[in-house]
Amino acid sequence: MRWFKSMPFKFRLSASFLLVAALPLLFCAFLMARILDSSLSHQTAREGELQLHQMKSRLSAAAGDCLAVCQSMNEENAVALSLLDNKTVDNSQKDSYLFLYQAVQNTSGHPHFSVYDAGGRLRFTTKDVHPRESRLPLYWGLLQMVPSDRQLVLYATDPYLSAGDDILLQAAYPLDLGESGARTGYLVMDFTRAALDWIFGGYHSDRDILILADPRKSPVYCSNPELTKEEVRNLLFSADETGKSRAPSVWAQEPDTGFYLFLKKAAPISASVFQAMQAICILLTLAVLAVSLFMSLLLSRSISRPVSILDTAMKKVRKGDLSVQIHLNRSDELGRLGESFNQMTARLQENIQREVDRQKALNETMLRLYQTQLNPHFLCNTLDTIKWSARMQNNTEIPVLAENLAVILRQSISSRPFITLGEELETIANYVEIQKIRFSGRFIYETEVPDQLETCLVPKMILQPLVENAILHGLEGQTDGYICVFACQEEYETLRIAVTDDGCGMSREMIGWINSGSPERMEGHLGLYNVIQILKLYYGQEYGLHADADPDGTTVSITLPLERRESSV
Amino acid sequence: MGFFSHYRRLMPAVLAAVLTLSGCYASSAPFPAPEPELMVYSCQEESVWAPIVKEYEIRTGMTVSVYQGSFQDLETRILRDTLSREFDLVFGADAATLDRYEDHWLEADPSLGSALDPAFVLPDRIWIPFCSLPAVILYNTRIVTWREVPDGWDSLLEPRWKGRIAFVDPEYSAACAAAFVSAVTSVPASGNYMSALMENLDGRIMDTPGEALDAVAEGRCSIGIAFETDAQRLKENHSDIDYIYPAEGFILVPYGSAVIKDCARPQAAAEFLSFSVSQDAQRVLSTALNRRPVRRDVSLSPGLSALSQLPRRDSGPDFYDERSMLLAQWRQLLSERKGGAGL
Repeated sequence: MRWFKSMPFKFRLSASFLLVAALPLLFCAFLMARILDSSLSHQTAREGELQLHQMKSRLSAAAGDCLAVCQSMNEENAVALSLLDNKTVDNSQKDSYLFLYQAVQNTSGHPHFSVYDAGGRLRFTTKDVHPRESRLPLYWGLLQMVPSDRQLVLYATDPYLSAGDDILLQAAYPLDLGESGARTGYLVMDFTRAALDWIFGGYHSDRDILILADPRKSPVYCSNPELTKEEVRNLLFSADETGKSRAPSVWAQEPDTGFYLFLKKAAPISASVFQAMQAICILLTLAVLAVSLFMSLLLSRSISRPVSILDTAMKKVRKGDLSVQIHLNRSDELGRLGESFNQMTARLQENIQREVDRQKALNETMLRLYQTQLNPHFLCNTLDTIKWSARMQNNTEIPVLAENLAVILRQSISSRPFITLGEELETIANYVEIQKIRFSGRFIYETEVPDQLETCLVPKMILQPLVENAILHGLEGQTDGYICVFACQEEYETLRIAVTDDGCGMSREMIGWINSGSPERMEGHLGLYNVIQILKLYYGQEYGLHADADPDGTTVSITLPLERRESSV
Repeated sequence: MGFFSHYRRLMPAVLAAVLTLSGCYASSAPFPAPEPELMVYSCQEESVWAPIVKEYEIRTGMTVSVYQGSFQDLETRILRDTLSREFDLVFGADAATLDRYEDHWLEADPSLGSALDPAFVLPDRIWIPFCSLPAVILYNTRIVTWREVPDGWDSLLEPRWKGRIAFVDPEYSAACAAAFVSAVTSVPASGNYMSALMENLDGRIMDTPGEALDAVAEGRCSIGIAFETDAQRLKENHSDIDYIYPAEGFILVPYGSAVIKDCARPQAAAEFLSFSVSQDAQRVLSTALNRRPVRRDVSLSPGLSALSQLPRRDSGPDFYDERSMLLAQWRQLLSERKGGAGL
């Protein structure tokens, strides 16, 4: 059964349909035919037994008629006397023939009557005589069997000894004279095929086969004259032995004569009818097979096709395509399954989008938080206060520091996440002014930014950590350092902004950290970390920070998509 | 599937029961075949053995089973040593085969020979003769003038009879073979006679003696080889048929019967053998079965002469080998002729 389970679904369905539709039909048809044939055979057999009983009676009656006629003839003595008296031929002959002709009419089957004298010579007969029939041997055959007492003897004629081909059965009776019983001759009755047909005719149908066999079980008469002797013997002795014969047969022995009657009934259903039934069954079965095959293919297709569509769609979903939708155009369970699938994928897609949006919002919030850390709002006002307080006390450096710091702070706390590169450079310039006061002119700051790039949008305060890093770490220990901010447009609409210093060069460890793509948060380098995060969050992994260093200096570059501010503003 | 697996073993048995019961046909017990009490191998035709067997069965109440075969088949069974296992009596076999394999027979009751014609009884024979079939040359008086009447085997070579000879295949029976040997050995240089005869037959060879008789009676052949009793019967029924005994003589090979050594029913076989040569059986043989009887006290059919008056030749001690050799030559000639004729 494993092989069956491993078959494709539609083939299993087709096979099951065929099994359910065709096999029961075949079995039932076969069973019905056998039951019908069997019941008809039983009925036919019973009918055959009845017919056989009747034919036994007929045979017995025919033998009885012969015996009665013979006894009557013997009692009359007329024929016996005529055998002795050769002189008064005319009268005795006339009487004898009258008696014989009367006997023919009174005997079943109307056999020919012949009278033979004691020497076996034919004296009177009611039939046409062949020269060879003029004598019957006393030492052989029929007359040899005639017993001494007055008994009728039945004898199957021998085809090789009988001159009359049509005579199948003979009966003989001794003609004795008076009580002394002196044998004067024999009365012989010849039963032809026609006579036997008359005796048994009407007691069986034309399709039945009746066989009369002598006490030696040798066939004497067959109702079907077309059968050969061999065929008759085969019919007699091989019927029902193999069980292949469909026609029932019955037989019985007639007790008075010892002859056997064998009746082979015609098959209740003739071979042609049986073949017709078989042909009809086969045709019906083929028709049922065809219909069931067609229906099974239809049904399996209606089931397997949507399952296959669903299976294909699931494969696409597994590959990540949640936009797949299936349309089964059905209202049954499979249709509802398809609808459910569509809803499931749509909801999955929504959930994923929602998650993406949430994450994006979170990231924006985180960015804002990061920017809040860099740009405290309350310092702005404090710095203004310090500036005016210092001016009132005629301090020149403090107002510069405070004013520049205030500009920086205002820029950082503004709500615009993106500013132009020009604005960013102005903020950097303010920052550098502060740092120059702090570091007393120990470095020179320059920018090399084409005018057309100043309108590019950048995240605000993106360059400040880089410049701060260059000032604090790059120029450490130097008294005349150089810092340059360089911007250029690169291929694929990419903007590159580089901060270069000629300091001692960034450490390899630091360069590796910056260039790693997703650096870990590092204490002491929070600004660079935030710059990297902001660039990744806004623009993706392909943009970010890159650092190069050698003993002559360090260059830290920012790459981001080139976006210009709308001119309508 | 649990339900089906549980009853799966019962289903074939249930199916078989249903089919068997549904297929039970009504029939009485089969007609019992008679159990044979004697097994006979007959080399005679059914027209000869059937009346004798039937009469024997009626008189004794025994059941006799007869197998009809040829003398060639008999020899094969003898050589294979299967005869005693299957049969009790060999009936009507030719004398040459019986003499050749006399070691396979039981000696018959010597008293049976006392009533037989001495011509058939030899002191060293242990089997009993049954009948004889002298060969004659038959002719149709309407198409054979008195001048043309054949007088012997030599007449068969006359050009006038080319293609008009009713000649039976010598391998049909031992009697046909005996007639053939009689003809071939009637003249010196038998090889020439055989070739000339083959040529004069012009490819016309009958399968059975009955065909030969019909061919001459109906005028399809002018002359033919037949057996005297058949010829006599034909002569009685047709006014245009007559026959002659060949002047060169005919080899009379009688048919006989023998009880097979080591058979299962020797007593029953001996009783049947005795009946076959009884006066009653021999009388029927003579009057109705177209055979010449072997008993002295049984008269011949009207028209037949006593054996002593016929041109009979002895078969000789080497008849069996001579017959085998001549038949082999004949077969060779026949196959050459058929091959040459593209048959």
